[in-house]
Amino acid sequence: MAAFDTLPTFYDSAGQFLSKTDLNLIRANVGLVDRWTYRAEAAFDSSAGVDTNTPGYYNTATPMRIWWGAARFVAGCTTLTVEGFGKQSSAENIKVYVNGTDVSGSGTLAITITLPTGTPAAFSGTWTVSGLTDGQVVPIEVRIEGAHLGSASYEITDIYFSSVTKSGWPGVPTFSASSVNAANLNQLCAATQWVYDRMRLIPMTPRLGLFYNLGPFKDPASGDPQHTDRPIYYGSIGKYYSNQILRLGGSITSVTTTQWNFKVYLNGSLAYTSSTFGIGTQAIYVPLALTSYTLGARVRIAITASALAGGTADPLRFTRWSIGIVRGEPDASGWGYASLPAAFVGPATGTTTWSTVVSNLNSLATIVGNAKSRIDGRPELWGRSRAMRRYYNRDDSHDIQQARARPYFPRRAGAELFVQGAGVELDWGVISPGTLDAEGNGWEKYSFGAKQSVSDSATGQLIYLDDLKGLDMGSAYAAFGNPLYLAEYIA
Amino acid sequence: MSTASYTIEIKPGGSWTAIASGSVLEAAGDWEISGNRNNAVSFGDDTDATFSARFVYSVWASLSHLLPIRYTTFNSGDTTAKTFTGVVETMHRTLDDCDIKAAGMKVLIAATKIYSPMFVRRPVATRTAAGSVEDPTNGAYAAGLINYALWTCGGRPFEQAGSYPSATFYYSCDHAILSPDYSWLAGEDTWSECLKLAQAAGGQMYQDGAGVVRYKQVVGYAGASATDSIGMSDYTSIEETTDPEVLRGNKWTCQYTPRRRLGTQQIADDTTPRTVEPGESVTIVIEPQNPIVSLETQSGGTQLRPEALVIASQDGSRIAQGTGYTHTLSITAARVTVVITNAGSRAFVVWRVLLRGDPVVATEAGSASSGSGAIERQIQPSVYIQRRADAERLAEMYATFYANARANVSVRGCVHKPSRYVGQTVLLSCGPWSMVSVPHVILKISHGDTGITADYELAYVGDLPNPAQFYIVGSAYSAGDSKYLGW
Repeated sequence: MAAFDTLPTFYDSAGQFLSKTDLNLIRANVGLVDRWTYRAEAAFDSSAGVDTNTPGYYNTATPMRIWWGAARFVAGCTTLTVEGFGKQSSAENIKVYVNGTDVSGSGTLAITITLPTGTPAAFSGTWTVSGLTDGQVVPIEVRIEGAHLGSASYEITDIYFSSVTKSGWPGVPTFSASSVNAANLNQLCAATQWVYDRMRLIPMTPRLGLFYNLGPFKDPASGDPQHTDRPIYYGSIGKYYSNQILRLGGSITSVTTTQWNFKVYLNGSLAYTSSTFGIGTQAIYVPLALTSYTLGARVRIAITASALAGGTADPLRFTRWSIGIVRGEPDASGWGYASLPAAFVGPATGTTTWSTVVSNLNSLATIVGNAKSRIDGRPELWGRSRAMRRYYNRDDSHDIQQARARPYFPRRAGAELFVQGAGVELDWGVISPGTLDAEGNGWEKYSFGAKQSVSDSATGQLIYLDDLKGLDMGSAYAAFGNPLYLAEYIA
Repeated sequence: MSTASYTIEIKPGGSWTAIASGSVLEAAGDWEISGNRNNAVSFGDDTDATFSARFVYSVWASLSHLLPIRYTTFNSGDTTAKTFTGVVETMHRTLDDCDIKAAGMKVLIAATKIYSPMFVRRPVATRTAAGSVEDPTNGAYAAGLINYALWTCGGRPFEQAGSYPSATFYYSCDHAILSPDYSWLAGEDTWSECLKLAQAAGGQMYQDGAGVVRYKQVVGYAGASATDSIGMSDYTSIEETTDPEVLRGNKWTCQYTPRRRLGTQQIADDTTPRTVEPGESVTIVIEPQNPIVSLETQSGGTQLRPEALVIASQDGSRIAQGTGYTHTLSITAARVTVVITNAGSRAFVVWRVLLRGDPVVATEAGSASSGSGAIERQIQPSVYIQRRADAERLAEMYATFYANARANVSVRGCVHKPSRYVGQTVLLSCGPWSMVSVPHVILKISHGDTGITADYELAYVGDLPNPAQFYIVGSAYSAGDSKYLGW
């Protein structure tokens, strides 16, 4: 059932009671739209481990896909923007194709970006959209074309349609003792509905949750560079609230490596070095402050891992990295939710003074107005329909690549899920690891306790998540199959 | 001594025609709230208004089943003419005379099958007024489903009677407190559906003594200004009955079943081949499995999209929309009617009608309770209770209205006063019972064919909430006022 209820309509001169049920419905919806303006957005994925065409570990074939995914077009948007960070390593530049098939380069060449030379720097390109319809899922592919080095570094930090806007803001009313009338009550409802509709325009895309990714295991003495500061994840997070932090969460399993740790770099600067861990499974849940970063800016994230001591086991096994959470969250002070006025009471409880009714209605109007201002003040979040990345790939071993990183919602937040892709299946519930064979293989055969195929995923289908028993608000779930695009929507 | 007379009219065509007084041999009638008499002010109650008459045989030729008929009584002691309006339900004749039994308009309303559009979050009834928009064809129409049903059955708003002198009947509605997420009519017993709507909204449907079909919030009974009194000098006998076993409870539980609008999808695929000769039409009626909020159309909703109709000549060649046929659409929540006309010179076959739309489906049910105590009751489930808040509201109302057993009072031998009507609040006095001007609502009126005396059944409503105790939308109050917010 949707959380946001249809708002009531009020009528003057009709003998309509000012109903506590109606007023509490408005109050509940006002509370929702206020809280929904604080969005724990997932990181935008760029790349992951060494077998995913990631900084320092690129396949040197050309042209070569370094990012692919899709974004959902929202009517009124005029621009597709691709942003990144890096530099030219040889003679390569970046080209962006839209509306193609799974065949690399099959889409329309929309953007050509000349990479910076010398020092790595931010780069971007835009495409003035044409021929797209509202709700259309647009495949996007980013390729390196031209000779490049395997040690190159390109990070795709953001891809989005903009600007998402909505007209017709009705404003919020001011109630007085003589103006608790249909016009003002309906205006409050219209304003609340407007904010809700405005926020529904912005899809909540998932990131690719890492499952059992390959991490370092050899002792540094081996001299193998892959086992020191080995890439685990590259992405970016928007800093959209003053008290927002970056949260990393997951678990790492070491079978043979006796000492290992990981580091987190933000915008290229070391922001966190973990403790040194040993054999066993280590849960991580790391908060990283974003205090020093500019509101509205995106912050690049890099996670690397090192084997500090390989141990004596024979054979040695990869450490396995499962990182489901890379997202923005509030710091310990929590999101700045508004304090709602007390719930309205009915005849069973007692009477209410008129001044209280008026005051509470004005409080609700203020909260709605503030929510609208909050949206207007952060166009980097509320003006963009952001793309999501498809599975990582370096070669044709796609099945395993998909298994290592699936679209993953660590906390269900929406009521509806839009899905498009081939043979998509949603999985949730208890996660059971795969049974490893004698060679230690089979990590990719993990499973979830419950699943539901999405029959019409090829053409796009809207799923009502409440229909999936046990997949309640706050629950984690992943998409199997070959999803092109997923996004949650508030409702 | 007051004197009485009457007029009986029938409506065989578009206007009312009086039956000559010399042709009337007998006439009698009564009105009572009787839909749910286990509590005198039950939500969802309705009226049984009956009228019987015997005529000279020549009237027989003018009679027919469900013929609208009205009966107006006049009393010199009460110059307000009151009318029974209903339809002929039973006809009987002999060699010498004929007689009829007529029932209230609910018979006609029940017999009228209605398919409505989907009403989304609309009060089940909206207040009728001189300026209220009641005609569903008006672009500004926003009235409730009960209003829609009554209009479609031939009723017209009582408050606009001057504009509709030939209306089959009149109706008048309070503003209902319930606005279901989705409500619609799908060819059921329309009166029964109206009662369900009323019951879910804490209201009643009845036809008053003036023949007006009313939707009334029960809470209004207590606040009605009562200027009419019935004192000891007005009746010959009085009895009161309180039966604690009737509908009464301290704790009430109400079920609700949410409805959800699904995204646009296929709602029907009719593959029955239908051959249509040139110049002829075929009517295809499709009733989707689930009611729909909208149908995928084009041209402002007047035409199906081209891919919805697969029509081909008998040689198999496809006929494009707009080239060889025309079609019209009638879209309601539960029924889509497509009339396809062959505008060409050769026969064609309608091979397929594929409709897409936004259906509404029921989701997981729940329940809500209100009150506490030993007497627990379950409110009769209603398809119109679709959200928890509405279930809580109704449970609270039941806990308020049905916490105590309600006494019924019968007074007999009163002077017939035509202006009295079922649903009216009167002030009852009875010295031996120490009852002085206590508000009661009239549940039943019976009077004989002379129209001189009448018996009444009344229910005490003095303990019910009074609308004056509540805040009303659009009214101005002082900051220090303290009243109830409604349920």
